[in-house]
Amino acid sequence: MVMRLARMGSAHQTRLSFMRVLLRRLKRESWTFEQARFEISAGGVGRAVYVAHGPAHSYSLVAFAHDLPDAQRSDRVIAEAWDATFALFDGVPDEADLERLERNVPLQEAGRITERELCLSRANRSGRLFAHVVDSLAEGRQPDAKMVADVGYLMRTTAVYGSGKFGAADREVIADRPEFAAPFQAEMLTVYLIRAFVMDLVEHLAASRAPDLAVPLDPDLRRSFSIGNSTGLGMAPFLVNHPVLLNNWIAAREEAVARVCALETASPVEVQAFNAVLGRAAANAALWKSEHGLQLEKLADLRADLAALRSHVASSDLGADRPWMRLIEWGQVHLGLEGQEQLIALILEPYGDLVDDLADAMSADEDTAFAIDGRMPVETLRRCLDDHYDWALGIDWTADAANARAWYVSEEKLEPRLGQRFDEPISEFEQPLSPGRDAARLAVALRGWAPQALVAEFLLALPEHRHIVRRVQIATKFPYAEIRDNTIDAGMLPIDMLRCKLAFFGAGRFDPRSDRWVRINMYAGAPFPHELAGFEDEAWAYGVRL
Amino acid sequence: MSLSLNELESLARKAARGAGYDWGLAEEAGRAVRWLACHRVAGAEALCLVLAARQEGRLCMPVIDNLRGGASAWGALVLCPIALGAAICDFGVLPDQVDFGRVAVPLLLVPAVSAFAARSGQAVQLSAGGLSYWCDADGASLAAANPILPDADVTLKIRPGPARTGGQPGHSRAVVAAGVLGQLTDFAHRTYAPATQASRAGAGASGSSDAD
Repeated sequence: MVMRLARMGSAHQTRLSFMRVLLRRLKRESWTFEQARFEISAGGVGRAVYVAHGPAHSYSLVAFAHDLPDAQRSDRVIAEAWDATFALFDGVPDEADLERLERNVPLQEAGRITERELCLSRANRSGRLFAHVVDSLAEGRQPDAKMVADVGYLMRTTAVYGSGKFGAADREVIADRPEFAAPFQAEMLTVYLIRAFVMDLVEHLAASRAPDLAVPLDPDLRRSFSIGNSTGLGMAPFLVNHPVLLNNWIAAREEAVARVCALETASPVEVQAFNAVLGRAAANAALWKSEHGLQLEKLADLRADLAALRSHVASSDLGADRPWMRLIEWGQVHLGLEGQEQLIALILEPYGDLVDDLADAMSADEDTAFAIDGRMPVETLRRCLDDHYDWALGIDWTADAANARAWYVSEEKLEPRLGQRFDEPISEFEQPLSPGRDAARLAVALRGWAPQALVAEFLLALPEHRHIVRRVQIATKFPYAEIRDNTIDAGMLPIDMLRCKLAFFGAGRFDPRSDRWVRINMYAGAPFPHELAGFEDEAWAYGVRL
Repeated sequence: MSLSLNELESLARKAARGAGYDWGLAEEAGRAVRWLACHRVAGAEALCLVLAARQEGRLCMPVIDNLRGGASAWGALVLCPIALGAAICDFGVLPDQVDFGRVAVPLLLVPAVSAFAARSGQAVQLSAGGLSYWCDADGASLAAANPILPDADVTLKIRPGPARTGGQPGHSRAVVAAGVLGQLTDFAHRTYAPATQASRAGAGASGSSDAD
């Protein structure tokens, strides 16, 4: 049930989301931050360096601000210019490093970075909000709070590359540093520092335009700004291509829920913490905007679920008798998927001491799962298929609708795309992103093989099944490795996969622009680097503090 | 050019797929090239030779008798080291000595034979064309095995006693010559769909303006 797309597409951020894991560590370890350079012209062009100093290592966001004509602003991978471009540097860059980065980072995919860089990213301005904020501040007043709330961000990143992309350091190079124990921490640090840079940038532009009149942003309003993100199809294949990693994310979350549900009682302080965050989640849902029909329905469901949950909680005793288990069971009967997923996030909130350690178990050494067990008898492989791919074996794969889509990569900037198999000449370029269909084909191919024949013999005869045999063996060892839905079905919604991944990152306010494209907010409500040490609101990710 | 190992593995996997391997074997090719680069051996160059041989129709796929030491490649054909390496690991058991006959670019067998040695707890000596690799060998002895042999008769000997545990690999980059990079990129390019207006509009479009 956990691995169905509809549920994954209803995921919410939790305590174990990677942004929250990062900020907890930065605070706990008393990281310090400095704006080492800010060489930006009054017109908004130039470079800046923000350094984060940890116990053993320093990391620098190197930012380049550009003058981008409106007509060139695109969030697609196929864009070739951006309002700002970034790299996360391992250490503190010297002038030669900066010159090298200045020649490459603005080019993004067309440039090269090195093992000294951990991430490569870029961002575009919000056409709705950026100019309004600069204009307002330059005129000596705060921007319109409603506009700020509606848009949520001044810039949105359109890619944050790590793990060896375009020449950057492989994850393996930094994986033994404690600050990178949890997944995507370098990427999350990059975005966190980008947010600080962007806020400094708008205040700088306003002050440059009207030195005598301009005001900085009010600190509370300032904190409400997120960094936006615009995510297309590229993220969806990631979940399918990293089954062990996906398993570890979900398993950590399930373990966290199990630990909380096992509690016999809850203290008044814990119940109060739950109620507080429930109220904030409801307020957040009320402010959450979208124009997409599917999301509007989901938002209506979420709001109704949260109202029902609050009403139920108000009349329930959460003190004793396995309160959280009872609440989850109540939710399974009375709430939709949106509400159930939100409830899971909420019950974890009072229990950082109990669940936060699970974050370090969310990474994966995928090498260990790569080898195929060729000594496995064919009959065991058949049983694995029956046990773990029953959902796929039950699909009628002769129906066009079940095969309607094909995932492929375009030669155009290697953009990942999803096409209509029967309308476009793309089948020969299909990526191996349909485990359900491939498992069903494997089941057919196994017919006629002797039960005691070895998988090694089968693969020697039919090497085309090697990829799916590897997956089946992984799925047998890792219960949450496989999405249990047809990823090439006519009705499949890629945004469900995107939302699952982005919720694990810690994103909020999912706002789909189509079935394969979603805007989100990151770090809305989070303390800025200079505020982190004194910031006590663990649940900042729920936004509004009531 | 200096590539990260993730880049190299991904490129090698796509190149192998572009040259006609099924995805599962293409994944093995990516892993093998990464393993060699990690040991500072020119795995990318070795893969180029194999893919070229495949294009020329000079490769044959192993059959079960190859693993039992009872057959070698047919006629003018040479065994595919990617498929043979995968089969060696899959079977996990070999006679004390196996003569495979002609194998294309035996260097590409080393990662798989090393994995076999490590998993079975045995030491394995891979002899090819007068050169000898101790599998599980350290990077230095492998590096000495360059230049890369295109085709050679290959023999595996299982030696009693535990597998040698060589030095840790630890190289985190691969320096790939422009010509080799170009060839692999060309093979990889065959996995990409042509850019058409319909593809551009339909597949990734946001559905509303980007500029808001």
